[in-house]
Amino acid sequence: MAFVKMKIRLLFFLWLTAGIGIAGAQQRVKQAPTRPFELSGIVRDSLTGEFINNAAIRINFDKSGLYTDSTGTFTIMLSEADYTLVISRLGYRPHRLKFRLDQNIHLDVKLLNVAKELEEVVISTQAVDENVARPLLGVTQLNIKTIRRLPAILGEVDVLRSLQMLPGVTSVGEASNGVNIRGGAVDQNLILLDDAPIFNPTHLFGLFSVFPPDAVSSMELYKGTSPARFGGRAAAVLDISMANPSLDKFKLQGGISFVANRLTAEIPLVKEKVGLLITGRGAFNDFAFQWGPQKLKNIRASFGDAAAKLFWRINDKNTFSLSNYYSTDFFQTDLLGGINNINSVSTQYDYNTLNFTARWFHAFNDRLNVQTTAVFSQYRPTILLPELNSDNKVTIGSEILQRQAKTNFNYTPNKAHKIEFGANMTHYQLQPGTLNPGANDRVNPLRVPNEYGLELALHAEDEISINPKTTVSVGLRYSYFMALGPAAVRSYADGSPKSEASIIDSTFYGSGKPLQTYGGFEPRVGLRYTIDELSSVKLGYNLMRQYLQVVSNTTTPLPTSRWKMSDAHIRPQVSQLWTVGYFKNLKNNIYEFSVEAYYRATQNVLDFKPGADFLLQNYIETQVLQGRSKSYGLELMLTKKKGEMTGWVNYTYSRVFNLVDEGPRFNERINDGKWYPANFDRPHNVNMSFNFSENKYHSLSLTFTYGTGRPYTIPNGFVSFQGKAYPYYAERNQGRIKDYHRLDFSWQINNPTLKDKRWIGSWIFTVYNLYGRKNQYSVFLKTQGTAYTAYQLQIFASPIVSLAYNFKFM
Amino acid sequence: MFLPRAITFIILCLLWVSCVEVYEVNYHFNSDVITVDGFVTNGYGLTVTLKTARSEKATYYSVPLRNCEVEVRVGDGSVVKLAEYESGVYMAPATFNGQVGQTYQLHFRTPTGKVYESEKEQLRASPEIDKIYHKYNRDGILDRTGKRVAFSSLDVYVDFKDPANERNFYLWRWTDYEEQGLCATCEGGKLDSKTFICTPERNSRTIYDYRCDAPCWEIFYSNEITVFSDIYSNGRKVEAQQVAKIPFYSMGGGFANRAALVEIQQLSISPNAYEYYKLLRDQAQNTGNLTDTPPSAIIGNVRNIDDSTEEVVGYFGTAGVSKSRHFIDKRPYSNAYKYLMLGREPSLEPDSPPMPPLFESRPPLAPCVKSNTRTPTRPEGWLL
Repeated sequence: MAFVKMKIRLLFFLWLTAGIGIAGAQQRVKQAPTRPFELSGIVRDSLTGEFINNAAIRINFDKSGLYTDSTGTFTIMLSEADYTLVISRLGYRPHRLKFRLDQNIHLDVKLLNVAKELEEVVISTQAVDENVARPLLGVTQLNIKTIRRLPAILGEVDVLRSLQMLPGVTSVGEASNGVNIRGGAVDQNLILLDDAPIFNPTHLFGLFSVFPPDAVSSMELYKGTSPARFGGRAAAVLDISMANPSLDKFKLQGGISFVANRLTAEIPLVKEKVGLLITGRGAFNDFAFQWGPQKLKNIRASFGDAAAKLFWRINDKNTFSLSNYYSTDFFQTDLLGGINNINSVSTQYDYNTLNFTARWFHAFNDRLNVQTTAVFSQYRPTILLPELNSDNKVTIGSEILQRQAKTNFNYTPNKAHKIEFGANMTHYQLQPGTLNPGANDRVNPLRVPNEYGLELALHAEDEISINPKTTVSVGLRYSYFMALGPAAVRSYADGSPKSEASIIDSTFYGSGKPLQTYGGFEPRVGLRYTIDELSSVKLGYNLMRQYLQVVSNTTTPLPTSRWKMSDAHIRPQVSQLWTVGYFKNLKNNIYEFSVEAYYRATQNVLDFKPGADFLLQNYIETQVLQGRSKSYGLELMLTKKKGEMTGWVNYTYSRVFNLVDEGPRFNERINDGKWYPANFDRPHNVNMSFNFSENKYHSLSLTFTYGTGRPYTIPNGFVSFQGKAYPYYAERNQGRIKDYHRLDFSWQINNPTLKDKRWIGSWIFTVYNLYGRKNQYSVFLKTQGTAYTAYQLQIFASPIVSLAYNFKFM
Repeated sequence: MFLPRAITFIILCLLWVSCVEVYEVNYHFNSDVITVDGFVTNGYGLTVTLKTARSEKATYYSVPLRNCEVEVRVGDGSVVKLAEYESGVYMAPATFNGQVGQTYQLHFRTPTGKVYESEKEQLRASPEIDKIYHKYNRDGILDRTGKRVAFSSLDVYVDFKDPANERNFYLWRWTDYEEQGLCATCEGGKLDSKTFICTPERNSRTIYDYRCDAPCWEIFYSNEITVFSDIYSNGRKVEAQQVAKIPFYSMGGGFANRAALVEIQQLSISPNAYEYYKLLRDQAQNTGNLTDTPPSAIIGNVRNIDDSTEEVVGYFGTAGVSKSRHFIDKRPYSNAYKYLMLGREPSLEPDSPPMPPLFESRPPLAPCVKSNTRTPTRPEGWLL
């Protein structure tokens, strides 16, 4: 402990002395004799040539700055010196340059296109009034740079963990396979990486998220009103874009951390025309477990992800991109839930994702453009059971195959309207499970029949400025889902629970024949009323339909959890969300304050029956119940956006309850058909994130998070049966684990040699869980004979120190 | 870079996998449920145990449900009345035997007038056990934290042929006979040599054990649930199915526990009974893992016919039974971690000095009294 303290002191000392040293150096630069010159320029849209007003010209990293006027021009007198200039505007890729001002200089700068459909932007600054002016509620644009500065566990920059610092985003704990957004289940989030869906967002059962950190350029989280172009999930949309490769310069960046190694290259293949981005990350240290304690000897773990993006700027009006993403995981542990008649001592999980996105953007003119996208997405989780004293592995495989085509038009006839419309077609093919015994002749091969589905959608949206104070966004989506044959659909006796015993008939539907259809309108409405220049009120209403979902009976869905399409028995989930918010910018937009309140009602949420088993189960309807969910919350957030210290503090009060009541029998209802808290109901949440960056060479970050412990089920009593004690559970989720809190720290040192070179290195020192809080992940009971004991499982229960090295070559 | 990464990954896994600690939960038990346990079998008669399981604050206990009118309704229309044989335990006449293919339904009325009924269950034949064998497992049973070896075990396996063309579900129970050398224990007193009752002695805190006066066997029963479904192996030969994990029982002290005689009962049960026992097993065997079975009410196939919301624990099932006995010579396994039958080493009353005739010499030998857990009758198949 004393050692750690000493270390921390030493770090602060180093930081302070480094800071003083750099400040001193700058003082000396300022004292050089100078002569004034004029620096002027004009900033234009690279595609349309239009002048860009209000573009920020930041000189020497915010030492001074100005904005372009309505003709896109700027002029400033500066003394003779070396300057670094960053020209940026929200929605544009910032333009950076470095020069010596020893004469009058006029710059002609073209910023890359506004339409994010053309080239994803690194949102380096939020427009000063962005928060106030946009009619959509609950939209958060996350800057990947902000995420990189947050302390990351074991030095791995993590998108999903960072999201949990935002109000309304929580999870069930350290090892959660996804996040819960405003009372939504993990599978109710549509997670897109370059338009391709991500079915399993984490590596190693929730420890790290799967998004390659160096290739992500922007992230938009829609937790309130989602644009009408998105659909298919009930709660929220996380739209992650991969960066477009540089078209003029070879760039290389990478990093080494305790866990994984990363490398990203941007290669211009044809200058200004074709570029390629390749990124890869891998962690393959599993042999290390062999030296671990007895209990870990059986554990092997490795993961990796890789992505590539080819970008072709055909001409000023057309671009084409092709992205590919691959992710793989392997995890072996002691036998978990084996299969009868297979002698195995370990279980292996092997799962991988393969996605392709092809995208063509065409601008008809500066008012109308269209983007057409084709997506191929494949997710294949496999459970392997290696047999004892044999090379044979019994495998239980499954697969999701999603193929999608969509087109989206953007039309801006005048300043009062921003119109978007399009169509979307998605074909799903699910292989729910195959059992392949390999060389084992004591097990029969088994194949659960494939499920097929087709989802069609049309959408249109218009952002209308009614008057200078009022803007509405009116969107409508119509989605239509067909569950397709071949399939056998059972009929069950009325009034009985759906089970093997209540089957009365079975109907077979041929290939391509719809066995059930669902559909309906999905209105998306947002209204913004500006009270004054700095504050506004927004209202939103959102309806979303979900036809594909996870059925799971674990705390967090496993990578191998079963995905199920809506069919003749499983009805689609329909979620309605009402939101209201107040936004205010304070003190020259240095601070931003917001309050948002929401209420969500979801129909047909799935919950599992007592003793449900989904593995290789053909008729899921016999294992699940459908009910309702309601959630509500209040989110307060204060952000400081500028200055040496930036960061935010937020508090969320939120509740989530489910009600499941399909009949009077105990296995047709949960908690006697009364409302009960969902697994991820955590009423109070506080997040704080502070970043201190005195200069570009180093920065310190501290984050703190607190959340009420999630519910778990405590037995209502014990029952002695056949000489052994069994817990007796009459209610679900009536207990709570201990509250969760944690403080993290990171110190980032950029370019420690302080020399401007093409090679820039940085070190990131991170302490996760600084004060070693023993947070509970779960509480569970074990019985032995007639005795019982409760245990707690803790994950990351002590400070985790790590050091990572990142580099950039450009 | 390799070494720190390796170490970190080990640390990571330590934190990830093994950070399991005992946790004090404030229980507020408040349940009061009826439990039903019974099987109609072909060959083992019919016994039904009825209890009320009560849990209050942090304790739980069972009260026999006495004076019920209990009957079993047979598919052919006949009714078998059960008589209360001991508190809460109801038995059919000794002449009763379950018939394969027949259905059985439990029906009982409590003294307070509540009427309960099970679902109808059909009795299915069980295939014969083809082969029974064991493996000595020195590290067989771990302590509750799962970190240290508690006892060695004798793991018993069976091979059998699963019948094709039908779904089959199996439940195994075992009975284990072990040599018992001590037939009485007195705490704070001594055994009377005539009545074989402990005579208390003032201010005595001694514990004395007394040797048996004849060969005696202790009987142990399974309390872990072992079930099997042929869903993935219908019609196949089932090999090396572990059906028992018997602790390496020993008297300790100078007593030799030379052998164990294990009887395996293979029960062919209904799909619903299988689901129930699987649920029961999973509820007791959570490991704190991500794949843990979620808590569920362990409610079986018995209902209050007037109140479908009343929750009744337990199952009334039917089972065809096939059994097989296996004799295990334990003498080669000298390095075993022993499970002491008394929970401690024996503590014999010291021998009295040599006495003249007419004076009794102590300690006396105790009789081996036949009960559920002890027998003086040499079990069939005992080879020593």
